Amino acid sequence: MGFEREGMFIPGIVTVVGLIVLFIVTGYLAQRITKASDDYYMAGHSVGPFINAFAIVSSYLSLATFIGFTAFIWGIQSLLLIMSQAWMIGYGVMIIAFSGPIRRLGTYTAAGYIYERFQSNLARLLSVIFMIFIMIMYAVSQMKGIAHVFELLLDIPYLPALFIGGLIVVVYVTFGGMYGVTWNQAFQGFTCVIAMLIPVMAIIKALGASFWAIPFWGYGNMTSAMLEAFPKFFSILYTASPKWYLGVLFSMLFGTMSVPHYLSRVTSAKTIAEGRKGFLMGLVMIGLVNVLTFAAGFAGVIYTQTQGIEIKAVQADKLLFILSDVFVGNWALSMVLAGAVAAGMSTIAGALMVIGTGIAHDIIGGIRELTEKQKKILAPFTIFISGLAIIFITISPPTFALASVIWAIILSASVFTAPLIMGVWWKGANKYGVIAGMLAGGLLALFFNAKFAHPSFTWSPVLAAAPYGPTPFPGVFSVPASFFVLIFVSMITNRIPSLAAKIPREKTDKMIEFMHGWPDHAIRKDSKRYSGDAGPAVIGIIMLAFFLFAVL
Amino acid sequence: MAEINRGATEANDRIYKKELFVVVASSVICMLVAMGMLFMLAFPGLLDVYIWGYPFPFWYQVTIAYPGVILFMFWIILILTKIDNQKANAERET
Repeated sequence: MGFEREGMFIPGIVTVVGLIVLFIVTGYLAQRITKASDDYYMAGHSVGPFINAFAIVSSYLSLATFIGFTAFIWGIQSLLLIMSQAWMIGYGVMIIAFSGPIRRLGTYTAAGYIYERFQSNLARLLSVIFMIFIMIMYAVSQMKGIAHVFELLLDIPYLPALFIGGLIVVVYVTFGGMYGVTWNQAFQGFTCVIAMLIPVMAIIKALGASFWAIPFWGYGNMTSAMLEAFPKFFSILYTASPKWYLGVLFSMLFGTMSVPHYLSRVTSAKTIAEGRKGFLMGLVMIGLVNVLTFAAGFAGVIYTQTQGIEIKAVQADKLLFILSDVFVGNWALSMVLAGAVAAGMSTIAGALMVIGTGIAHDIIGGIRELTEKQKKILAPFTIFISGLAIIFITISPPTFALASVIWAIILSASVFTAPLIMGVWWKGANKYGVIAGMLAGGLLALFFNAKFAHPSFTWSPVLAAAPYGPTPFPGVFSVPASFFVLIFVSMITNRIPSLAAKIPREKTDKMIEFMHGWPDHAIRKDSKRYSGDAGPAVIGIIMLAFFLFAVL
Repeated sequence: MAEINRGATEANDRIYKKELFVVVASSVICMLVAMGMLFMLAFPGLLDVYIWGYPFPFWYQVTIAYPGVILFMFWIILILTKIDNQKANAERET
């Protein structure tokens, strides 16, 4: 493979250990100013736009994204740029469409929102189960990345690296990683951006880019070499089918809007206006990381092609480490490893927090009332056991670390995006519609994700023959299905008196007006705002048309 | 039953319709920008238009679909913040 390091990588170990100590100190200092559980998760709604922007970057930038984008360029080449920017723009649509209403409602998870808005325990239970699935998929990629980092640091094979690195991270998260979540995430986000920007500048410069100071625009002089090695690098944009692009739209853009730990960042800002500005600053940096990883992937392809090095797909996730080591040296490799650990720790902490609180609070707490003492014991216990389970699942990970993040985002898009958009903007969306929509979207996404992981993609010869592109995105089926099922089931059940009588209409109607910022005196019982059926019907028909287009 | 202040209701409904229009239109525009390449499929000649070493679709992705769309969103959130202020000062309807 052309890249071998022998023995432990001492500069990397020192950097990573130093970084973990800094995380613990940050967590400890943040813990001292934490008074209530609300402060604990959301920093007391007191975070300025700059700090929130880095916390947002940290939520987005998982370890799988940090190293996986660079690797994924092997699979889809220039199409990676479409995928990653759709991911970023999804955040923007979330800011515009429902960040304010969610912030006013005061919930900071998708499950919390669904329970409050639809007043249904069954809907909450379903959303918690799907949320746990999503976070497990998310965390598997991070564990794979952590294993790669410890492989390099300690010069050991994948399996022992997985268990050593995985246990260190799980123990850190269980006993300290959750303190001062927002502050630590901001610090980790900052670390990730710097640990990506500087090494990529150095790599691009070493490869001979004409304008390395702006590394994402400055390697145009190298494209002819790239086209010699990979003639279809750019033209693949024109060979991908429209179904691939629609798959990206529904899977990536709709997915980013609703991923549980992304959504929670809406709540930590001082005001809605500051929260929105923080998000936009975060978007600038997320976009920067996207184009930097693309530049790093570009450099990786050129390097391996020009040197005649064959790299196995399963090892492509190490490409950023390899480039840093070969073209720059110890300091760059140490920085990239530190950035990878920062990205992995923040994401695993976020994922385990969602899984742990979901099991302890929403599932066990829903069956029987728990005392504060029991909750304090149960939460870290469930987090630790979940962490161990994720380590075992990662023994046999997907080829590319990014793959299971993509599955998680598709599942989130299929389960949560329709309830979020329709629930915020349409009073007619009810618990029957949301349960049916979540089940339809979620089960279709899980089924197609399982098929997506398999080369045959699907059981149906018709679907198997359809041009879904180099890497099919099953959201093309499941997201439109969740929308039209939610809309039409809600419309039908609103017209069945025995079912409609079980919906606390007055409460939820007032809640929607409140979520949109209307003061009490401007909310009438018979207000017609947000209640028309025509708009949702049009959306339902459009989504049905998209679904049929995807299937046929 | 409390009397309805029709003038206030109409004024508030105007704010609501403006908000709905801004959110729907801007969300759709953002989605179209993200899918800009899909619309370029009809123009394969763009792949041969090279600027400073890169084909046009690359530039589209790293300019319009990155800082361009973020600037657009910034403009939209300024409008949404104004609409939020109008809602906070909405007149009493009854």
